[in-house]
Amino acid sequence: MGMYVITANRLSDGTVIYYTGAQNWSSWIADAFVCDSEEDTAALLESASSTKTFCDIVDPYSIEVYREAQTIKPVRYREAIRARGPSTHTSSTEKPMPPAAENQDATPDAFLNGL
Amino acid sequence: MYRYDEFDSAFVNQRVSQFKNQVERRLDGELTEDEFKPLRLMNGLYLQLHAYMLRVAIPYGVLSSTQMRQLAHIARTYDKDYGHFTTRQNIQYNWPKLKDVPQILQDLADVEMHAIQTSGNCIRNVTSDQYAGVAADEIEDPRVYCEILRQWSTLHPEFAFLPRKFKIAVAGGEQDRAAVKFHDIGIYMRRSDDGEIGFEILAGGGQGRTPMIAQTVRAFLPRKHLLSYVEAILRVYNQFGRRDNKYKARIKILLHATGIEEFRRQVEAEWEQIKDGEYDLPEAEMQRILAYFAPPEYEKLDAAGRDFEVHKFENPDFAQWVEHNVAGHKAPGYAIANISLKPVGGIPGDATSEQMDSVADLAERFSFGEIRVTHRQNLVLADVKQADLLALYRELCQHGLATPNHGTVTDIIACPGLDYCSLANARSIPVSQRLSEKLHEIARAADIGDLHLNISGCINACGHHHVGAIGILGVDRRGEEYYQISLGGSAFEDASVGDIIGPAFSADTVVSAIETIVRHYLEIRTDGERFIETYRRVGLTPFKEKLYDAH
Repeated sequence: MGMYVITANRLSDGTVIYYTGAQNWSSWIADAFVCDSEEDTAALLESASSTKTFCDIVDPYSIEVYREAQTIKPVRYREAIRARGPSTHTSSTEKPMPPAAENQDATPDAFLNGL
Repeated sequence: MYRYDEFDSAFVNQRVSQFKNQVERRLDGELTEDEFKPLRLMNGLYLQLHAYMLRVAIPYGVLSSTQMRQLAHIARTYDKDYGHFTTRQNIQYNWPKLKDVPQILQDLADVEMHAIQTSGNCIRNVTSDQYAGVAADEIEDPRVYCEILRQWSTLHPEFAFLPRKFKIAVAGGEQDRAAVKFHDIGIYMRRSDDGEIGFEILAGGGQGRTPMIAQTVRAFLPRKHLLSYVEAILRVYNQFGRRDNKYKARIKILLHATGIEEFRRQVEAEWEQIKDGEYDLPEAEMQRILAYFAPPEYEKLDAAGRDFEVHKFENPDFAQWVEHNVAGHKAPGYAIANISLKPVGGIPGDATSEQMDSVADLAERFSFGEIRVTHRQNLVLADVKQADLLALYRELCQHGLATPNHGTVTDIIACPGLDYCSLANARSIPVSQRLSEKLHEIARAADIGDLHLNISGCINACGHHHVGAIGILGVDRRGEEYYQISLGGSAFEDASVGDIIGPAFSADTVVSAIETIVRHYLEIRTDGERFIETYRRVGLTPFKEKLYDAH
């Protein structure tokens, strides 16, 4: 049985965001509300789409994730790059670490297949 | 270069105003994303993996210094201090905020630029030879006809919703530096047997998931019929091109299914209806546009100065840059300087705002204030005095723009790939960076010569992998990045589509696989034989055996 989170892009700047399950969105996957079955993602997506800020959200959809060392990681490579930011241009475009770094993925490059 | 007339200026400013209003309504929640998306795409604004991406049109790749400075200003003010030059001779910004885009478009309009028709199923930016107007083999400057096509195709109401996007390229001489045979319509300037100047018109070329080489529809077309004939081709395509399957919607599929004879018959029949009418190019209008592209006032100079030879002798690095990056010019004592945007280990096609400003300054100082963007993602100063080349080279060195690799194996075309693009399956940029470093290492020990290496992050082929002498295509194999290698492609007048060599390689092994191919070429080439020539002589098998024995 897989695990799923809801992701989208923020309207104002396209930033990748995740639904926290508290009528809110975060730019960190670690904050995402994790749904334990694919069947439940429809309800979660509906909940995400009914948030007050929904008009600021573009194209929400569910993605499969897994837990590793208490962090949440996307299954698909594309989503790993969305979560982390481009693997190049690092000085100007790398996604900054979130405030509580110890609660986040401390080794983000592990997503990136060694490149 | 061409300057906007009052019509150009009016519609561009009108579009800025319209889009400003549309963005405000979207941010206010008045427009849904479904309503807004087609509007933003009509203005070149995509939503990619991490941010919006704005694609700005650079008509046939020609920029003034003023325009380049404005592009630098936009990168500095609204983006992350860099821009990415593309294989359609355009520039893309990867990080604009939605609220800033109307002002960016206004800044562009202020210097006679826009982002219209850089997306969608319409006629895209017409591309051309970066040596237009200065190449010795040129019949006539193709930019004149690119500009005529730009004016005709911009906001053309009949062709705003074609079955699929539509790309046109025009080249002026025998040598094809514009990948003409891989365009929906490709145009070569030709001279008839009795000396009349006109065009050879090709159609049905393209890359993507079904690469095809364009076929000649008409071997010679007099100049005045350019628009009516192109209009006839577009009408046939608009009527019969498939709209039920986007993967079969390009004109190449139509032409392939119809056959060249029947397609030509349909085009000629349509043309008969409209030729010798309002689409004929009036001579006065042609001369008016031609005047914008009149050659600058060249000084009368000697063909080769002694000092230039001495400088090369005394400065081997300069000599190497001249050997690779400088091309012959039609005017004695002048040269074409290619500015590489492919530093070793760098990101192909990227330029910082500081570099853009520097190139603008250097163009003013050394090349009549004009810059060209190439489809290989480099820049060109087309009118540099040979005597100024050393000074130019030294300035380029100061700004990290003097890599002497034009046309060599490290002059890699790469699309943005999965680092940015929502269509991509695999990353292109990091692979191209690692390849650049490895191949530079090999090139320091052996002269690899001309070898075009192109990489795309998906089958849409924005990185032109089909036409690389070595092509790399990123694929998704069960959630992991893999890279399929092809050999033998060419985008030049000897156009060919590369042959897939075999099973794909992982991200960890693709660089050593390419190294194996290049080293095998060095072993088996004959004197002076370029990679593509060796490949055509020996075929795929020796490379394949070597590659899969080693991996």
